Amino acid sequence: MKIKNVNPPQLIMTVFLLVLVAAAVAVDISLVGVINDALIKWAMNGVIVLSLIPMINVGAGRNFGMSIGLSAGLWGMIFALNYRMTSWTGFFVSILVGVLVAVVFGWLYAKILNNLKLNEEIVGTFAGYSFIPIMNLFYTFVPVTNLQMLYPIGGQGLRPRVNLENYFALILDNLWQIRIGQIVIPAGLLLFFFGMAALLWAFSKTRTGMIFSAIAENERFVQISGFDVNRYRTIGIIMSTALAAIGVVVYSQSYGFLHLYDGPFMMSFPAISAIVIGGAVHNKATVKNVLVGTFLYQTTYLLSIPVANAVLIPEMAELFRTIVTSGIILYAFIFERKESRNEKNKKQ
Amino acid sequence: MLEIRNLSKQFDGNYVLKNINMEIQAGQVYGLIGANGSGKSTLMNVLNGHEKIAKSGGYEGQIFMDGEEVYIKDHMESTRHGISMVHQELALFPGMTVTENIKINKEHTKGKGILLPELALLDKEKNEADASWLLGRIGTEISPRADVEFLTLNQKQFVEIARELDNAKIHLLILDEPTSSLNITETQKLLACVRDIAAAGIAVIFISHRLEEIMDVCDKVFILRDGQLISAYEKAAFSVDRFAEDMVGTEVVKASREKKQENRPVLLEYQNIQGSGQNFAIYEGEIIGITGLAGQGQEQFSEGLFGLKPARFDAYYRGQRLTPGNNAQMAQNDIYFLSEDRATTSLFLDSPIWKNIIFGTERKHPEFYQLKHCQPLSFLNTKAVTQYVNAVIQKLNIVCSGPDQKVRNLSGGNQQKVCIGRALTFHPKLLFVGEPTRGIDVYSKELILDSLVSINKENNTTVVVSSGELEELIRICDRVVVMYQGQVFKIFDKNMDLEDITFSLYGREQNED
Repeated sequence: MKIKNVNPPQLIMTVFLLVLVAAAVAVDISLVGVINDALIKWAMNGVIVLSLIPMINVGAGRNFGMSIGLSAGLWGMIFALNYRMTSWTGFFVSILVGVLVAVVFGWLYAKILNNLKLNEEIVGTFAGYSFIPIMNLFYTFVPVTNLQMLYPIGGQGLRPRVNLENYFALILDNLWQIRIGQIVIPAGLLLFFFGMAALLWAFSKTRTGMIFSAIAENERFVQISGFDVNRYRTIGIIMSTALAAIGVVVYSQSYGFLHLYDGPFMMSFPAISAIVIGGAVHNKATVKNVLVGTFLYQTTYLLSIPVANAVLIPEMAELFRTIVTSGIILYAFIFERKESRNEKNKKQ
Repeated sequence: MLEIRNLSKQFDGNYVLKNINMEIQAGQVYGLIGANGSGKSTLMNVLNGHEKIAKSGGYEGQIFMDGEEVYIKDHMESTRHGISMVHQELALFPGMTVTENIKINKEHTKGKGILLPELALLDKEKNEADASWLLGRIGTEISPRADVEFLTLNQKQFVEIARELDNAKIHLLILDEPTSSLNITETQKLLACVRDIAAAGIAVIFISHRLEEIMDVCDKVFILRDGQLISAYEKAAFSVDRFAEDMVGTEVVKASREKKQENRPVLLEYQNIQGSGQNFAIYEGEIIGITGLAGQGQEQFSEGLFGLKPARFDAYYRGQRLTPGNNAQMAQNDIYFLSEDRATTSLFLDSPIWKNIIFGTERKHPEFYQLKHCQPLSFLNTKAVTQYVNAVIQKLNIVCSGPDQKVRNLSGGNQQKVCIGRALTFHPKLLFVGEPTRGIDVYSKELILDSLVSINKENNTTVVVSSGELEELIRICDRVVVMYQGQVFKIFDKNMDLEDITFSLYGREQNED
């Protein structure tokens, strides 16, 4: 790989990861455990990060309103759990219902974003934030009959966290595990992640995928060529929303809990940070960006906790995570603004 | 006072100014004329220290101010040397009063201000007195307290001139098309004002497309063509004919296409242009040129149809009404638009050549896709695409490393060829082309004109070229339409005489002898 293709965040994260690995070895933290966890974290967050791709590639920006899609996935799981669907049935029904809800949500979301072009990211942030209290209201009033999901006292309203242990927790994580010594490779989980990635990669090579990237590059030209740009944007936004719904189901089965209410609140920033580290820009993201970025981001975070706990004060890890996450998003904005200004000057 | 010696300016290797030599004396009015793109604005931008100049590598040659060599690196520098410019597009703060606009950044203050000079109180009376003295000096009676927002265009122009004059050191005032949006009486006022300014010992450079004004107000006229100073005339030698001749050049007309004059069916008709009831028809199979000075509405036919500008006409294509801005309908009717603004409306700069050429052409080329019945989800047929694109590259002589090269890295001429290649791939029935040869070297120009002619010949495509390059239009077009003030002013068909057309650009009729 040429050094030119590595963007500064990627470089910083890689160097930092190496420092952390060295520190971990120095303070005798078992690297085997870290590798095992890293593989799971990679795939469990990976699908959520993949969900950013269609929207970026159709020129609708990074999906800061991801909580809309995540909420759709939560709906799917609430549905499956309420009818006590366990194991694979529960997992796939969650995905199916989640995707159906996501199509509706995504369509509405696209309506909003298409009316406010060029401001998708800020509008998305607020659309996502304002969606969460609406969903909270829904979780409080939804007529669920499965007592395991309800508040034990009063029997009204969903619990903030529902344990998935008796349903489909770890179902992908434990599928086709390959053990090499102490290292456990979660082949099932990884295959699911890679499968989704492969589908998105293939999509980018189709005619529709080509039109997507064309819109991101020069919307005006595509419009003059007689294409209905808003239609393609709507498709892209729905795809992103649906993928986020699938992503949260995958995430939840790894996590072992269905995390409602403010659960989706802070999930978009780490995902966007990861894809930026991977080298995605505001109008172009590839599957490779997701694979590289998610791995670097999640592994760095994973390692930073035990290292920080051993070397520094314990609270450092969470502070560090916030600084890195927000800092990288800030970097992306500054860098792109600078770039677009340079381009403008060049043209004159 | 000001002397320019061997001034040249290039943008990416294209010289837009070549060895300009000029001498400007105090108290004189100089006219600067030339066709669109002849380098007038660039020359003035150099003098005014516009940031475009510095950012594209500065200029070559020397500028002397009162015998001393200076290098104008930015706008501050040019202001320091007493050079001011009033731009064609006015730059005033609409929410502020006349005084505030004139005195901005040069305000009189009461005392020093608390803590910081920036916090000083404004001396309103003194500022207003200053403003009204300046306005009086150029012969207008605008209230210094009036809100700029509510002034007429003419008054705004005066406010802007007053602001520029409020510089104790001003030696040279540049007016860029100050009269383009004024009526006759307003123009007279402005011209009188220009004379007064000159009488006060300030040199004025006056840029205008209206030759009468130039004759009227200027002491000396410089004529630019293709970035070269073609000629300079003293007042005694002024003549509109001479000006026009020098502006367009008297080169021998090169190879021309045979004009088709037989009756043809109407392909596209514009009705009620600009609400004036005027109609204009484009005939099937012709090459028609649309020309005019900047801003006379020559772009409205194409850009209006494709929704880039408001369309103030009704368009009928073979009798069927077109909805302007409904580009899917245009594509269905095989109407294609290659805009003059290539970078923003006709190219994917960061994509490879092949994508630029085949994008959106699936209706005409199903063979580019592997699944003919499920195109939206079909992969490309890479072999067919590569083969086709290579053929286009060869045919149009696009200089590149191959179909995978990014369009951004091609030269302007080759980018234009890529655009033409895409237009060819579309097999349009009606092709709109805007400024096809702008910013393109001589050799490529001929190639592009040739390809337009051959599209017309081989596929009987109707080609509508809007361009300011009269000589080129005369060579390839069956008819040339001159636009003036948003209307079709004159249509030339049989006798296309460069001089006649040039005259009509300015809204004048040449007497037939």
